[in-house]
Amino acid sequence: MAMPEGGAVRLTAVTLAAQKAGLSPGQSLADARALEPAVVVHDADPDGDTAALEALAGWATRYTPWTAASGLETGGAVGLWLDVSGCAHLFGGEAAMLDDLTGRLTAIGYTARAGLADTAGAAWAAARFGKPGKSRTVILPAGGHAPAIAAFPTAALRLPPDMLDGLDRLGLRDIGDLADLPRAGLTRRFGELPARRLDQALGRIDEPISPHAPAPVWRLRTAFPEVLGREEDIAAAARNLLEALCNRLARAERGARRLELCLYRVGGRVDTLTAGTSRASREPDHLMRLLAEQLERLPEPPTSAPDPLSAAAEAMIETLTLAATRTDPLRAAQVSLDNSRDAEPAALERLIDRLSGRLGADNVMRFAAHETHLPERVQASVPALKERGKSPTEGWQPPQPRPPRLLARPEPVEAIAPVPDDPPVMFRWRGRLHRITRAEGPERIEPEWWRAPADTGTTVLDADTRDYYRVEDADGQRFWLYREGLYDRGSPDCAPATPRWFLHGLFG
Amino acid sequence: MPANPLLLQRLRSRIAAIERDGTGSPHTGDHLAFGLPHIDDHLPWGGLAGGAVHEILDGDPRTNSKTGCLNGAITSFAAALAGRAQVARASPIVWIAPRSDARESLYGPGLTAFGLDPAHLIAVRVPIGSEFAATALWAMEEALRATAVGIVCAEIEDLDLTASRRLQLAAEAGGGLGLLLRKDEGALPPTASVSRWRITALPSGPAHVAGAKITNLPGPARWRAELVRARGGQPKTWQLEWKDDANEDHDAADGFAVVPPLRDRPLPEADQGAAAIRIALETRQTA
Repeated sequence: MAMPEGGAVRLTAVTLAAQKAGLSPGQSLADARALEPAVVVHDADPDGDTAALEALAGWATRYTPWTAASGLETGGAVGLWLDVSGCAHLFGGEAAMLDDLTGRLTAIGYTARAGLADTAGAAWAAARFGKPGKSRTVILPAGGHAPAIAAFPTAALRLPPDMLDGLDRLGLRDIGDLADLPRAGLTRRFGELPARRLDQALGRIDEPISPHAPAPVWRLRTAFPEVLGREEDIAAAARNLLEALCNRLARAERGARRLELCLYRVGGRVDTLTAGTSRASREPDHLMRLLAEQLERLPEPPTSAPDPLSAAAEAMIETLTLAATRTDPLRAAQVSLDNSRDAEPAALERLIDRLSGRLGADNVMRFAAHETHLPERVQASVPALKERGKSPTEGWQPPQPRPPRLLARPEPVEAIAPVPDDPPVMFRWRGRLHRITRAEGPERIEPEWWRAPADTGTTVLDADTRDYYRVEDADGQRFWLYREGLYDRGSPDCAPATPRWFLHGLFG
Repeated sequence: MPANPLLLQRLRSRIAAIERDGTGSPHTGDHLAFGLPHIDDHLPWGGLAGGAVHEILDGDPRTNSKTGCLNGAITSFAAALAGRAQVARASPIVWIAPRSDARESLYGPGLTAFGLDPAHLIAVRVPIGSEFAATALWAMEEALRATAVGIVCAEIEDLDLTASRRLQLAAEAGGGLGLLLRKDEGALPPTASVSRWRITALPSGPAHVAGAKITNLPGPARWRAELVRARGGQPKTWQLEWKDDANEDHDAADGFAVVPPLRDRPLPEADQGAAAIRIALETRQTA
């Protein structure tokens, strides 16, 4: 890997084989080529690296909800933090868990080493400087991290390279050397960082690390002894998780508002499905239908025992987690005596949930009325998933007739209106000529000058006075037309340059 | 001796159930009446059959795909039916329409005039694209199966026999009532819908302002409602008018009214013109 830096193209990362040939990060590409003419160079992609590491942190949530990417800012080899407190027993102990972790990372093409210790700093050191066994994992025994890291080089303290050089010149090569020194002198010479890192590694002070994502409380996980590919199998497994989750929610008298189902694939990819509900629910049947909508739309799963190296094999699913990322209090269901009245709203909400799940919450709307004169502002749409539809009915009664259909934007029409302040006698809209036989108006609607321009919304084309007419053509079709502007505005002879006419709605 | 209407209704339901291979929906009797004996008695179900899908065609001969929207007449006719369903079934309405920023959309203040409460309307918008028809049909099927929905209106153009059969089965299963709003583009393929209507706007009658009939104001909405096809019924055409409280010829309650066949009507006199319009508006405002 190489990227331009200070006028020369320098290596940013090298493979193990290249390291053996004498290449190292920081070398210029010209030097590297002199040392090893056969070197293969790729452009470095720091953003891509960060994204890949973040994705890997997401992948690692299979072991613990608390994961974070590390390394890109701390120097040294990049890595992941996993807080596995209380999680290891789920995987058969710490050693088995780390073996599983490194094994899986190797299988998806990473060279990985794992270290486990009582403190984050000691685990970092163990992963990079410990003497690994066969499985590339180092576990420092509980309480035994202090003597273990004493033998590690000072580089294991996550210090910048120039500081390491300085320590090296003083003959301080091991962490043990550093730990024996008086603090005051060390701090005077190198700043507070070495002492702080030492304390963090030894567990004398806390080291906060921000996790990849906040850990949800309502979270369940299942791993499969054999990978799954068929949609029905995955659905059945998700259903089991869902029932367990609903039982837990029921005990806590809560219901899920938002669910997140994560599918961990063999290839390291994680698919996240989310489903929202319009009111808290813990009915497995209903919630499962919402998730099933999404499951159905996942890419076609591999049919039967695929070639272990193929892309299909990588898409197989090995672990599922289900989390209720948002919950609301929900009391135990009360069965009504006639068993019908309460069932109806629940059925409606289930329908809204399903429609919203497939079409998106902003495509399943309820209308809300606003107190305003501007026709296009009277009606607002709110997602039915959010609004419970108890808005009052009063705001809907218009003072004058309004059309049942309103154009999203008023459309300009060619109108012939021979007399000022009179409705037109004919107009052309979308290529059709309409001869007006009856008309009512004008109804003057003034712009809402008290609203700031930023607040006037997107559909208000112009803050000008409008004169609305309700007109009927010879076929009996009715339209809502308006003329923009006033006749007596502008020129002194009461004749405007060109009055503009718009069609705004269709009457019944 | 006149036949007992209740008995007739029961017999019709049983015939309808037999016609559906004995798998009669429990909601067969749950029909939606127009509230007009002229129409309700003509239809085999005493109104629009429940647990069924009905088609409403835009009868405007000049509406085509190019103009891109359904006209106001079909919208208001469907809204009037939906409003009746909202009241009769005490359930909200689902209205499925294509999603497009450039298109017209339902407008609550105008729908109230036809007895529809926009606060209990769920507008489902389906993105336009290659999957539009499949997605819209799925949404309609879901809504028809849900027992909590009074009526499902859907603006779906592409509909073949299989798709309409699926909709019909969904409606029978859930007892839903579906209205398909479509353009009338020549030879429509046969569908499994229970009835098919063609709605055309008609020039309105006189407007009633403060007790006076004024002919050059737009009067109450009028439609020509053609029953083109009805399973177990005969085609027929009516002229309907929407009566609301502004229309003082009728009772206060909103609803459909049958208009006698169109006679020759005097043309609006030219000299009345615009002055009369404004006077009429003023009187309406003061009234």
